[in-house]
Amino acid sequence: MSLNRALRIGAVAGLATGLILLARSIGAELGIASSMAESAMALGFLLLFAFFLGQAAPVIGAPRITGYLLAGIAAGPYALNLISAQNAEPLRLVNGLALSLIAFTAGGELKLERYKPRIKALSLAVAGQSLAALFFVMAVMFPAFYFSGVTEGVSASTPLASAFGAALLLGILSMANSPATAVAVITEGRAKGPVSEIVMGSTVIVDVVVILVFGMLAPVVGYFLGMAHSDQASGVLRHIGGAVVIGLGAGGMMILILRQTKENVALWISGMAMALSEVAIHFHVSAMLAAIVAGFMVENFSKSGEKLIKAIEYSSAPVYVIFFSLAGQGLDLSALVANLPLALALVFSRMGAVWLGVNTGLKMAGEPVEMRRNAWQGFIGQAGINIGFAVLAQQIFGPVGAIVATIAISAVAVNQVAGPIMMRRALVVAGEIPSGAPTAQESKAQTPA
Amino acid sequence: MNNLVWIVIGLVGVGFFWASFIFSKERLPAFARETMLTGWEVFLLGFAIGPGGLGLIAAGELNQLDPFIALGLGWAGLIFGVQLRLTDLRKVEPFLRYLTLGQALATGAGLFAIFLLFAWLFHGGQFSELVLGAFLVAAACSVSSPTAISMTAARLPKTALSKVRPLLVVATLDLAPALVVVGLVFCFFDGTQGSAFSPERGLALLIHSFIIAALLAVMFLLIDRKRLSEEHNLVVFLGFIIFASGISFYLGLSPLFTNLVVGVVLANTLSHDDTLHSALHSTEKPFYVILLVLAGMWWTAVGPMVWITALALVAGRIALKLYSMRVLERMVDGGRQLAPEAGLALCSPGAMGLAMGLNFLLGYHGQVAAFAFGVIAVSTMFSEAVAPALIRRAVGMAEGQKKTEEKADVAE
Repeated sequence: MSLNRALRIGAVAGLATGLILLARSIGAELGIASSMAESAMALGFLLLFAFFLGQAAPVIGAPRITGYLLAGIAAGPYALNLISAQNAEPLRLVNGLALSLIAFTAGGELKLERYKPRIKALSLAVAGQSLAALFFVMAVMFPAFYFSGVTEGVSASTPLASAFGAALLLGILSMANSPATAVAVITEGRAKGPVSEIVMGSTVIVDVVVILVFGMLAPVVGYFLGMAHSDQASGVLRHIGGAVVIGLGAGGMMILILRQTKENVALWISGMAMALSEVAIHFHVSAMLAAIVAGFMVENFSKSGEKLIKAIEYSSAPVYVIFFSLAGQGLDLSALVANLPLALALVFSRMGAVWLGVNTGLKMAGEPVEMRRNAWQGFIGQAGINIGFAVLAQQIFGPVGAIVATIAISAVAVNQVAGPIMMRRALVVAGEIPSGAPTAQESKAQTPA
Repeated sequence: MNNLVWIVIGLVGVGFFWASFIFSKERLPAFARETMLTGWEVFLLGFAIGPGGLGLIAAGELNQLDPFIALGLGWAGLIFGVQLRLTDLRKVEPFLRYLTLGQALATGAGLFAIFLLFAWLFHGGQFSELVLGAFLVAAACSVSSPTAISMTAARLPKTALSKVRPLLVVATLDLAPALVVVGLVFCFFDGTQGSAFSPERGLALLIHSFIIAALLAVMFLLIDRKRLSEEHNLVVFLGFIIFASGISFYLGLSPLFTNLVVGVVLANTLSHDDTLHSALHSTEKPFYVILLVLAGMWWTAVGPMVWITALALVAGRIALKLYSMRVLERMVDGGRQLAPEAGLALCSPGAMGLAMGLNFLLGYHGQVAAFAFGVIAVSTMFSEAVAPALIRRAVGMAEGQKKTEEKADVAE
């Protein structure tokens, strides 16, 4: 990046920040600040600020989404407080739209034909990562909880059982990955190759596995915490079944739309993404899973897969900026600071577990050592689904659930920032993203028409 | 079911309707096509799913769509602003400039009086609120839509086209005084204090709005857009418009006006072939749809007084446009180049009128604002329905003459 460009980026980011501060000072002076409009100002600012920080991210070898995340953190309530939680709330609709579009891409990338030769590696990577995360994290966090006494006296059971229940719950939450991060890093770098395929496919499947395991093991967690939860399994079945049904319905509609519509396909797909997101929220099912199913259906059961991906690609840049900057803005840094030792224990134990599980799984599948060395780094990122489960755990398991949720969310803050950097680095080392080469968007801009 | 679900389902439905029919109007019968010049049917669909229509969406949930409204209004102001290049404006014949300003002022003043009278008679309320509403209604209902003229003209014989060009210039430029009025009204009438007129606050806000617009323009100029891909330019473009509009909303200013000022600065600093122009035009259709659907959702006032006032405004508007143009054509040099009934071509306010109305409603939440927006909505739809016939008449293409000229064209 040239000095001129860096200066320009700095000046634009500085001007945007200056303008928002100026608006606030005028508003305070004249007593006219309208809270209704603050969300629009916040979104506009975040789009610009995050975009330009994202432009600077490749300088330190990080993907752009790291820049978007850091911009969100910087603008959020724990740093500059330019965007509070209150004025980010009305952006839920925009965020849902972005998440669904990313999930459409994730589903659209899961072409069965492409994955058939890698089905063994995919299954073993998923199994290895899930089991290792569950048991390894549990093994580390159980003594940590017990000896720190954090879970003591907050449940009806003994301190030992309480610590075990909490560690088991945290183990389940640690299994989840972030398909959104995988999609964003792969799309941004136009990565192509076995590592990208394994990471993309596995992160999507692991998300389904987490939902299943959560449903199956929730009664066990409840037992150790001295609570009775008999309806968790049926709840999970409803959760997955509902998401699949909504996803299939949306996928069918999208096939029809893509077949009928020639103009403004991106506008159309965006409308569909908003609808799907809101319907999923209404029925308390995972919008991400539903959108993945829809994208998967279009890709594998129609001839419109390419049209879908192209339509989303056109709007992908604003979508990533919005989604990841809002994710950064929503990260609870105060929780991280308050629970730093336990959060770091969780982060490192999970990282070790992912390395061990993915490596072992891929070794058993007969994958080469280069693949094993790099692929695990694509599973570090964590995002929305973990936060969703953490909130659910808090609702179901009371005070112990709240402790686990706080630690899990604190760890997400670290994984969310470290994950994309590690994944991009792994893809560069694997030769699937050319090091130092322009990104997909840059190369398009530099190609003469 | 959560009403927000219906918002998005409705948006998808509207999108499909628009994509299938409005962008491909050839599929519609000619009579229906003619009345849909500037997209008021999309506005009506927005109304149908909004709180004032079938009530599928609760009024309290509309604020989730603020960023989209900010985008739509900001875009509308910016796309007009970037057309105002001084070098181009200097090329406009002086008589057209006088005609534009003269008829805009005469129509605006007349409509101001009509609305004030009807609102005072039928609606009531604080006088300052009524005056404020009258200013906004006058501005929104006095603008003319060049799109309506060009779309109607496209179906007329070639001989009529030469008569249309000066009218297109007048219709394009008469938006400027209206937007300036909107901008000044937002500065000088305090929405937080019962719409009271406040000169000191107004002056301070006006100065601040120019400073903010100038800083926004500088920020835009600093962005190295040539190095960015089309997708990344889209991010910058979206972020910039939403940010500019968000600041305006936050300070109780008009995003239409702020973006107009930014657009004027950019128009006179960027090169003629800058990518901003293509970006604005490539996003024109979807942004219009978004703006009109959302405007429709905010329309709630539909009582008989709204319809009576709107009809009075439509009649007043037609008369004022017709006679002010006729008088001015006689007064200014070169004015006689236009047909005596040229003013009739300026009777379609188009989407910008609705945008101004929406801006007013969001800035001032009172009953008068809702009444005024209802009046603007109804009068716009009436005007759009009669506009094709009026435009044809204005360019001397009454039915009989139209057929004769069509025959002449065929013979040629």
